[in-house]
Formats: sequence, C-alpha cells, structure tokens
Amino acid sequence: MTMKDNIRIEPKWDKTKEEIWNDHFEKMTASDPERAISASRVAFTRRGFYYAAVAAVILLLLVPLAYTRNIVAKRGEHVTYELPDGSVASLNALSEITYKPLLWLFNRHVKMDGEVHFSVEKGSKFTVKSNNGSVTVLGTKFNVKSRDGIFEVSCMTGKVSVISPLDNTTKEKVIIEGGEGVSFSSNEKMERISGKTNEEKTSWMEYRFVFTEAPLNQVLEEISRQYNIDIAYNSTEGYLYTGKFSKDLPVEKVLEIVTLPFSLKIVKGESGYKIIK
Amino acid sequence: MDKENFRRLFDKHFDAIRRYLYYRCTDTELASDVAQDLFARIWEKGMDLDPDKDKALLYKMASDMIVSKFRRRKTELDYTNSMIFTNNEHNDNSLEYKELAKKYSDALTRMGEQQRITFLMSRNEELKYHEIAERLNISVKAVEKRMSQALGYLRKELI
Repeated sequence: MTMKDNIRIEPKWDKTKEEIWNDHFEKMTASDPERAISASRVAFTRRGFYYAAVAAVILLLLVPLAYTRNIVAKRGEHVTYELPDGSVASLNALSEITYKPLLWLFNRHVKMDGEVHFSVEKGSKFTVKSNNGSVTVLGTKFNVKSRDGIFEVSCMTGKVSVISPLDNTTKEKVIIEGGEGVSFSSNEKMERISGKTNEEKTSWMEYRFVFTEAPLNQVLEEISRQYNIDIAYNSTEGYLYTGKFSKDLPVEKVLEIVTLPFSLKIVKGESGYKIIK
Repeated sequence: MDKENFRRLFDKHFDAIRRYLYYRCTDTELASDVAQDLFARIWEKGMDLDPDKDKALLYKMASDMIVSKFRRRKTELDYTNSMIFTNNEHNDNSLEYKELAKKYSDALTRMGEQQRITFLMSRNEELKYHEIAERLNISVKAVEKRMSQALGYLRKELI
C-alpha cells in the first residue's frame, strides 16, 4: 500500500482563488455597497426586533410588580373596600391603602396611612405596612392607626404580630391577641394596652367616636377629619378629653360637647372654627 | 459584513471549500461554480460569518448547494484526472501508474460518500481529525470511524 504516499488528488482548477476573486468578487464587493449596507441593516433590525421582543417579555413580567391600586378616603368620608380575596378594609377619613392586585394571590401586602380596620380572610400571611410600623397576621380582625408618627394596633379577634418602625435599628416585635392593643410613637418604646375597650378603637366605623384621656388636639384633629372642616386652636396642651360623640350630631354641637369641660369658646370663621380660651 | 471581513473569509476558506466540493462531485468546473455561488450568496445576503467559528455552517451550506446542483447533473465520479504522482521514480504516464490511478479512483468512487470525503480531507489536505470534525460538524469519534472504514475498504479493494 505505497500508493497513498505516492498518489495525491490535486484538482486542476481552471482559475485560481485569486483569479476568481479578481474576476467576480472584486467588482461585486466594490460596486454594490448599497446592498451590503441594506443587508446589514436588515440584520441589525432583526437583532433589534429580537431585543425588543425580549424587552417586551421582561416588561410584561414586570407589570404585576409595578401595577398598584390606591384607595383613598378623603376628609369627611369613610370608604369600605373589598380586597381580591374577600378581606375587607374600612378606611377612616383621610386614610389610604395601596396594594398590588396582580400579585395579590402570592403576596397579601397592603401599604397604608391613616386609620384602617382590616377584616382578613384566612389564608397566607397578610401584611400591613405603614411608615410607623407594620403588622403581620394570618386571618383576623384588627384596626391600624398610623398618624403623625403614632402607630396604634388593636386586635379584635385572632392574633397579630406588630413590628415597630422599619427604619429603626432596634426592631421590636410584639404579638397581641384579641382584645389587646399596642401603641407607640416614633421615639417611644412600645406600650401594650390590654383590656382597653376595643369598642373605642373601632367605633369610628359606626361614626361614633370614643376617647379616653385623649389629648384634646387629637380629638379636634379627628373632628376636623370626620367633618371635613378646619379647626384652628392653640394652647390645648395638657387638656385630656374623655367622652364620646356621634357623627349624627352637627359639628357645632360636637365641638360644644368637647370644649365644654375646658370652658373654651368656639368662634365660627369663614372657613372653619376657631377654639379660643 | 464589510468587504474586508468578506475578503478574509474568502481567502481563508475558498480553496478548502472548493476542494471539499470536488471530493463530492469530481468535477472541477462544478466545484468552482458552486464555491463561487456560495460566496456570492453570502455577500449578497449580508450574512455575518465568522471565519473561525462558522466553518461548519460554511461546509453545510456548500454541501446543500452541491446536492441541489448535483441532482440535475448526472456525473460519473472519476478522480483520475486529478491524480498526481508524488513519487517520481516512475514516469507519470507509465501504464503501470495509469492502471493504479484508475484502480484507486474506482475504489474511491465505490466507497461510501461520507468515508470518501473524510478520507480525502485527511489524506490530501493533511487535516487533523479534530479539524475535519469541526468542518463537517461531527464528532472526532465519527471521523475516526469513517477513516477506519475507508482504510479497511481500500485495503480490501487494492491488495
């Protein structure tokens, strides 16, 4: 078998590679740049289309993350809102909640501000977040108030877990049960309020307002929110109000009831009321 | 792909592609035509081929083109026209060598196409097995198998 060392197959070409290039391709590649550019543009747009498709898919996947619904109760009004799983949020005047409807199945997460009562259907973890603290529950009824740096949670039934301000380095976690409540302000420690009538905490839902040794300015703020009026006051420091009133009464009557024990005077102005000594 | 890149691709692969096509059809004219058409098409369509990475694609396209051309043109395989005798002890035109060339060519044409191409790429172009594998887009093991089949066949036919 010496032949394979002796015989090689070498095709006898009519034209060499260089000749073919010079005869055909030199002209083709020089005289037709338009086509080459348009072809590369086609390739570019095709690639562009591909990137666009990828971007569109990613965007579609991100839509549920970005899509939020916002429910607002303005001054002087209450709003009751049913969340997708049947849980009910009742918003007191000047309150709002925000949640992500498309992620609700996986993530029961509500952001709130103001005062909201939640009646949660049983299911996965339900989280309520506010600037002043957050609450985690499984299924229960509870009231959350987050106003002016004060965070107050009262639990009607079941169990809720309350976490103090998120930005706080010393996070505090408290578990409260039905009938109990917890309250704290941004610079104070948590204070457990047990035995305090929860009627007081949710009476707002029936337009009744109950206060026990509440600072007068808080009471006046509440009235201002419920009746959507401006109330100007000064030097109410140290006044603690205990009592109740209902929204059935006209606002003058309510102010009279509230201010009477402190012998304050009510002056009706153009855009609201003024409380003076 | 701009002219410069196209030129690089052409320089690097035109001859090898043309020889590959020749191994398949034993027709220098047809092989040249198809190779030329192939590169013309690459340019016209603005295909962006990498001279190093897209070898397999190049061979596949060449193969597809020769198949469709070949179907129309019934050619009998005959390698004798291209035989070169590298051993110069004897005159190329001696009867003995002509006979040998005929025998070799016949054996090659009767061999399976895949074995023949692999064998010729290895013997004539002295390509390494992995280089052949890369071009034909098959595994090195497959190249080894085809080579041993080809050698076995030739041994049987020529001795």
